[in-house]
Amino acid sequence: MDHGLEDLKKHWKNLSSADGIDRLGIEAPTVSVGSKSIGNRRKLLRFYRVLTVISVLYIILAPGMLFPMGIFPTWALALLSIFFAAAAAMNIYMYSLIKAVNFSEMSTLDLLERVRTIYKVHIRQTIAGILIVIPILSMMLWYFYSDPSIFLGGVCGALVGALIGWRNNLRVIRYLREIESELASAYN
Amino acid sequence: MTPSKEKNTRFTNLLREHNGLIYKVCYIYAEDSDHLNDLYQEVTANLWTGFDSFSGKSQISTWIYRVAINTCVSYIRRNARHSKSTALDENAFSVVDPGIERAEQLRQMYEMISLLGRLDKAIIMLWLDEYSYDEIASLTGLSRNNIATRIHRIKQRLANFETV
Repeated sequence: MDHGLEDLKKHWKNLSSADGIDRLGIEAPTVSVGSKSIGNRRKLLRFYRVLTVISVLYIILAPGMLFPMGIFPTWALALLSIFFAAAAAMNIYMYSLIKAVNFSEMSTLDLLERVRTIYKVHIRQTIAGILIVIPILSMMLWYFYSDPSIFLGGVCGALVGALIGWRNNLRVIRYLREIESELASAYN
Repeated sequence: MTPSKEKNTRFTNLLREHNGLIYKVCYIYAEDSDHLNDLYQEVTANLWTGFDSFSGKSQISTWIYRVAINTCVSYIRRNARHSKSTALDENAFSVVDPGIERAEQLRQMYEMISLLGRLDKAIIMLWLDEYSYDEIASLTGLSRNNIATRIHRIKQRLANFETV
């Protein structure tokens, strides 16, 4: 075999050894955390990606589709667009925070602090979201009070939305708590 | 020790022992350090998921190779922006093993490998680690003849760097 290929084979095989990472000229990753954390990070990233897409799609598509129907007043559509724009911004922010969590490069203590920060941000965002959506929904329900069918549909939609939102909120909290607990046991 | 803690310990030991293998596979498929870390975390997560189902029939390194390659290929396929093969950073592989005069040649060979298609990358990685044609065929799902042809072609391309 050619010398070059022999060298390549030798070098490649050596990369598998314990100090193989050093041979790549990069810092050895610390493996201090169980893979539940890694899996949860991935699920959270996917979750916020989907939420961002939904929010952006609403802003792009919904006003154009709902306005011609003439059911919703302009101010309601505008307020809902503002709500979804805020939601998209918050989701993108959360996504960037979670994306920055790097289990192979950051120390356990840094990771713990980062995850606790994300948890606090999530709680604040949940409260902000509720504070924004309650007045908007109240105004819309007040407006449609005289039309029982739309009013009832709105109430049912709000209830279903609240249930889904609360379930998602609990899911995010569970993922973050699991990561935090795994990190804490690795640190102690 | 509880079963979950025991599993965690065994898995952490496995990662420590085979980190080089996992990283080098991710390295071949990665475009930059961010992408490398994403791939590494994705592979680790999938190894964890499949850890219980590893029967021990094959070597652990073969199983890791299989999971790592499948994960990298699927991840790149899912993320359209990574679908094109891209040359690694010029300093991606700091070649410290062989004599200095061969370092540049090796770096160019790695660069050429990083430009190969997803499947050819997997094939050449396995061949470099001395897997037999049959094993490579079984890992990649291609026929033995196809493997032989592909390896021959890649070797010819790599051999061009002999003259550099």
